[in-house]
Amino acid sequence: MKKTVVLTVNDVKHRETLLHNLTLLEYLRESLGLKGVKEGCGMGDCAACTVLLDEIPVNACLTLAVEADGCRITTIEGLCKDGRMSELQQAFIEHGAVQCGYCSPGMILTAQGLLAENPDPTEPDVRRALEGNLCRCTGYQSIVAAVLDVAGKRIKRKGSWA
Amino acid sequence: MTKDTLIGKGLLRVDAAEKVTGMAEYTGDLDLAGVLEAEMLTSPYAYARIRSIDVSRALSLDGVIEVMTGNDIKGLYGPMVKDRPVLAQGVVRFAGEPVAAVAATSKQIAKRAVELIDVQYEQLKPVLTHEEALSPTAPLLHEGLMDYEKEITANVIAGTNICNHFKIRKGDVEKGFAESDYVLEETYEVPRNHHVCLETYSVIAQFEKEGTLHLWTCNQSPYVLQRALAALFNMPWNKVRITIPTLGGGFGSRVYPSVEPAIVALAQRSGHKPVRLTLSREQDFYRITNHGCTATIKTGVRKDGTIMARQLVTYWDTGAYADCGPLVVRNSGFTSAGPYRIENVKIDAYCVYTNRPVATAFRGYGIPHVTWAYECHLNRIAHELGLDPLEIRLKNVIQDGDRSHTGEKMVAVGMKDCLEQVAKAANWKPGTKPAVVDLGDGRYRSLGLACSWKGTMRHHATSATVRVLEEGSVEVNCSNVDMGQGSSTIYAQIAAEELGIPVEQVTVRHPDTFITPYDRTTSASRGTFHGGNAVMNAARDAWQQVAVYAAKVFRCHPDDVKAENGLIIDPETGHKYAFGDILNKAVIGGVDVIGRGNSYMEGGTGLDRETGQGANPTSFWMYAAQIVDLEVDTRTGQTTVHKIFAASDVGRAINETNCVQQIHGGVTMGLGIALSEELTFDDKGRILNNNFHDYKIQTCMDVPPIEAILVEVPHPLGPYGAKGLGEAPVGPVAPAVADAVANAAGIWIRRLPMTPERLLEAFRKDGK
Repeated sequence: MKKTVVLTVNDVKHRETLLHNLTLLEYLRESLGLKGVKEGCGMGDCAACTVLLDEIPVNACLTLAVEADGCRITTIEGLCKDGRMSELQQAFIEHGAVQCGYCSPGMILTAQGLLAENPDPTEPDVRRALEGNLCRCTGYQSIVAAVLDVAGKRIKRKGSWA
Repeated sequence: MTKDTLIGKGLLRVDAAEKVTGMAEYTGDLDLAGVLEAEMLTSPYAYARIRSIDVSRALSLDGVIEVMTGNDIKGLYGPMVKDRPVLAQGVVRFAGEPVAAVAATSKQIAKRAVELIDVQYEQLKPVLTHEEALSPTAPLLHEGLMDYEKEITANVIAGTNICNHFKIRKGDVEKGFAESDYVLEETYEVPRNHHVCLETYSVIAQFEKEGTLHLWTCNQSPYVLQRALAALFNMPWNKVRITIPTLGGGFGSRVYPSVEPAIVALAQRSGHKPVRLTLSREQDFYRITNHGCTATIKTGVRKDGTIMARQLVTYWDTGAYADCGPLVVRNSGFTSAGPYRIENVKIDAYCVYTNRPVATAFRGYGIPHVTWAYECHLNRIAHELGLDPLEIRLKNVIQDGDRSHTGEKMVAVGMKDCLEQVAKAANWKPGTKPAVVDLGDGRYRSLGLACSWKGTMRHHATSATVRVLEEGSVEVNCSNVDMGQGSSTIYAQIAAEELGIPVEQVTVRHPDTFITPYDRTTSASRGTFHGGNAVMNAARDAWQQVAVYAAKVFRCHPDDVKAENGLIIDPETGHKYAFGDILNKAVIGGVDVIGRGNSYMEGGTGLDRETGQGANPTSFWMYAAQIVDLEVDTRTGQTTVHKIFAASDVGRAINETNCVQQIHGGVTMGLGIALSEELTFDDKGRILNNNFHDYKIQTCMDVPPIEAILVEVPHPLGPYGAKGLGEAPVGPVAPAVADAVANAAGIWIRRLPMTPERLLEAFRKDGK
């Protein structure tokens, strides 16, 4: 069974006829070559494959590509604008939140989703949002610090932060 | 060269930008034209004879290129004992053992083909524990054990399932026990657990032109693989090319060959097409695991806490094939009496075959297992004597000039410094037992302490080259693998430091046996020490060549030439020149400067097979001490860890940020091992929890604040005084947690992990 869908991936529109059982993870990695989308478990347990579906973080391994019909999809490759890294990407580097790097794309996109929904998160808010993203290298402390730093800087810029 | 400016700074990782943008290429991300996908048929039984295999239906499936069984590939491999077939030969020895391998045009077809292979087994009663394996009636899992090729480390015992018996005999333990005021004997257990690299294992093999084998793999040790595959496939070393892309973790699970030989065999029979195997998470749990260990420890002490004698008997369930089990048993064995001055030591450590999946190194080569035993045991002794855990350690701890249990004269020992600094951070005063806070509702809070030491490997070599390109950019070639621990950043820093250039001008190449020179292994926390020395020496060699060219241009002595911020300074005029200007002036048409460096130290020794004595068995030692602050709920068995103070002696921090990362990561891993991680097996030897919802690693909701304390006792042979760090922070966590639980609630746990169920059971037994 196939279905014709329209997927907007990192601001580029794709009209595709896809098998119903193709996961979004497979489509992004194999058809579009977006290898920044990582498979860690294929069962929705580790969130390494997180992408944004209309700004909401989802596990690409548990999402069928045809389910994303009409949606805007952002992968880690889509966070760089005009060759510049996003604030979260930079903060992850500066806070030493990257070691083996395999969880980093999913971690950053989950954080991006959190900040879109809640621009002023507390540390527990950040930890709850990232709870499903597994990391074996860092111990999470530097990751949480990076996310809080970005949130703090954004709020400070808007002048609503003490 | 400039003054010491880059060493010690928390410079940002050189590979972080490519990782946060999704540009880093892991093995599974590589696109190779015409790649075939592989799948393995694995045994459902832990121990069985293979009666017959019928692959005809699989072979007739459209898209199937090759189907192989043990009949198609002979030869045995294994780093310590060559005991392992590429595909099972007439017998399967663990559930999950590869029996057949398929290459097909798609993963779906390969999986379907595997389902069509018909194997008839005759089930045998599996040997699932070390007790069963050591029983006089146990079957010999490897009847050919004595005939296998083996390394000297593997002290096998004929007619048994023991593939290494490691011994230490120092002094007279019976005399020591007789002279003691108090003797305690206990047994501690660590179950099997798993490394959990976030990237599952991935391999691509291809036979290229001129019979060259090219293998891309997420392995930690390209040269171990090169030599193992060359031996197995009867090829010269210079025809075996191992390329290591970015690694998504390692932790010891990727040091030795595992699935590579089968994929190479498939590629050999698939023309010049590349063949790829990427494991699913469920398969990855079966590929390799950690050892289970049972340790019986007996210690005699004087009333004042002085340790008079210590004896250990440890049994290690190494699974169906030895892998590096004999080395795990040796490397943990010679440290397993703990970082203490003890005159009388007797150790017997047995590496035992069972019908379980293969076990290998896991961030410490068995040190977390033995640390669990000797530190819980010492805390119990302190409790019985009315001493506090800090006091008894400070009294016995090994120090400079002391002899280790193998007879090594110790130098640059940071153990006492670690204990003192961690105690200071946690405000724990020697001679005062940690306070217990009654939080009400059956909840109690207290502190716990433990420490650990770990040697590295023997004095194995690592080589590096540093190439100065004409315009002043620099390449570092070293085969120590950056698997997330940050070695490439350390090497870039060292090369930049030695050449007087900014770090940004240095590129560290990924390991590739056709390009980057020899390195023994990326293991045993040896990368900064050995790789660092090799890169430092190579950069110095490169600089000396540059200085000779510059001296020719400046008409001065090479020793007078210096560089700073990427510019070479004329000692006469003080004018600054780009590297390229000088090199081009010195040699018309340009020149390539290649510096060579080795890290190899004379004087390393083995350990005597009967006594375990040897004056220099490890290039350096690591030391760590930790204090855990937690509360435990005696009604539910739930522990809540509030904070962990973690001190590690790093010799000298070349990169402060990297050091803190290693401590955070190691402590977090140790906390998982302490509280939640355990591979569970059914009575047929199959893993019940080979997925992330049943095998619980720590999430960001579980990990408390960790205060990393860098202790710097410079090592005389380390680069700038630095040494390794990565493994040492894992071991102390579990015994420190157990000590805090004992201090808070009065129960003594002897088996990991300390799940709420296990604590609750202990509270019930204790009548709480």
